[in-house]
Amino acid sequence: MALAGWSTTAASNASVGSINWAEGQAPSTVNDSARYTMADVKAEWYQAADLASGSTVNIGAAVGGYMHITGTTTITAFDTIDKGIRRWLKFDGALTLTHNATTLILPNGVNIVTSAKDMALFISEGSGNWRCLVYTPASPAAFSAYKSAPTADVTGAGTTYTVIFDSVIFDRTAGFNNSTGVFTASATGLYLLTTNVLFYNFGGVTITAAALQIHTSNRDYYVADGAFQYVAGSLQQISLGGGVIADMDAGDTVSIKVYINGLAGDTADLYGGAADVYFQGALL
Amino acid sequence: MSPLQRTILADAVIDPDEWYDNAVTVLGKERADAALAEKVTRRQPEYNAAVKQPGYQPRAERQAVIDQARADAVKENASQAEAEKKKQQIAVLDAILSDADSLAKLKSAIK
Repeated sequence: MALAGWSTTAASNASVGSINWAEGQAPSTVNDSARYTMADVKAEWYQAADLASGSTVNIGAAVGGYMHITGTTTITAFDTIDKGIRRWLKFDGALTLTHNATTLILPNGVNIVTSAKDMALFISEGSGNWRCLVYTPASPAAFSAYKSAPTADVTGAGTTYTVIFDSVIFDRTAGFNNSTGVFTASATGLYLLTTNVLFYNFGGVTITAAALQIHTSNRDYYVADGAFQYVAGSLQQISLGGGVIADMDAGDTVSIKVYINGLAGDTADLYGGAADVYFQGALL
Repeated sequence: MSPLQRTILADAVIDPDEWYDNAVTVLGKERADAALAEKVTRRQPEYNAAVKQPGYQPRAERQAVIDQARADAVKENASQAEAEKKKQQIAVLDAILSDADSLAKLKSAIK
């Protein structure tokens, strides 16, 4: 019997292993029952043998509170064990944990595609039902990129321009493409996204509109959007910035789009530099 | 990607094929397929409800309507800005003409 099989009623714990520990037990078995008990306690804090992924993985029956899950087979269930038993899992590869509202409750109610070295803490709710209390990606998505040099004539007459942030400061999941300015999410969740751009060189003409859009697969966010009326002494530089918390699914993309209107042609220039033209994001 | 997956994905994203191709490129086919299945499963209830509504449009068509409305608003604002610009220029010219008229009257008074 492992710790999971112990009872919270002291009188019910009449044996440990094959040793009768009930009232009147033989004195010669006392040391054995104590050693069995020590072994059971140790086992709960022990690293169990690796378990191969499969539709049902017997983490409850495993001897140990921590174990590696090998393989890439989708997991849809764990075995039945007493309520409150906890298991720390470390995934060795990419597999899908399939959310079920009763039997395998995952954070945010969505499936998780694991990556090597991701960690998860599950607690049994009895009857083969498990709840994930904590899921910690080994390397949660976070990126920061900026536009290193100015680009002339990108917008001005209403043309929408996708900003290419060509210099990457960091990118934990290698999801940012510095040729296209597009970030691809590798995990489902809420992402904090922030950006800033700076336009200049309007040729002495007052622009009539300027907008900055965070364009995700699921929806668009206008984080800066201004309409300008004529003013004597025209505006010759404008900085637009903002941020959102966006729901993104694994595989979704996000990019930054801008436009300026009011000029005779696309003659406005986009500035460059880490302090003025940047795009950052992180999985919350 | 099955036809049903494409249809449901098209309710969420503008270009489902572009979405999938990019996912395969960045995540690899195995993870892209898992991500596709997850996204479709997650979006299916929303799609099932939406498609029953009269005049249902997939995301690309809905987005085109939104984009057109924005473009119209930008165009309208530009038109108003141009009108305001002319109004202010005329006001400046009127002020100059008024000043010229005043100067002419002043000249007559001096004579």
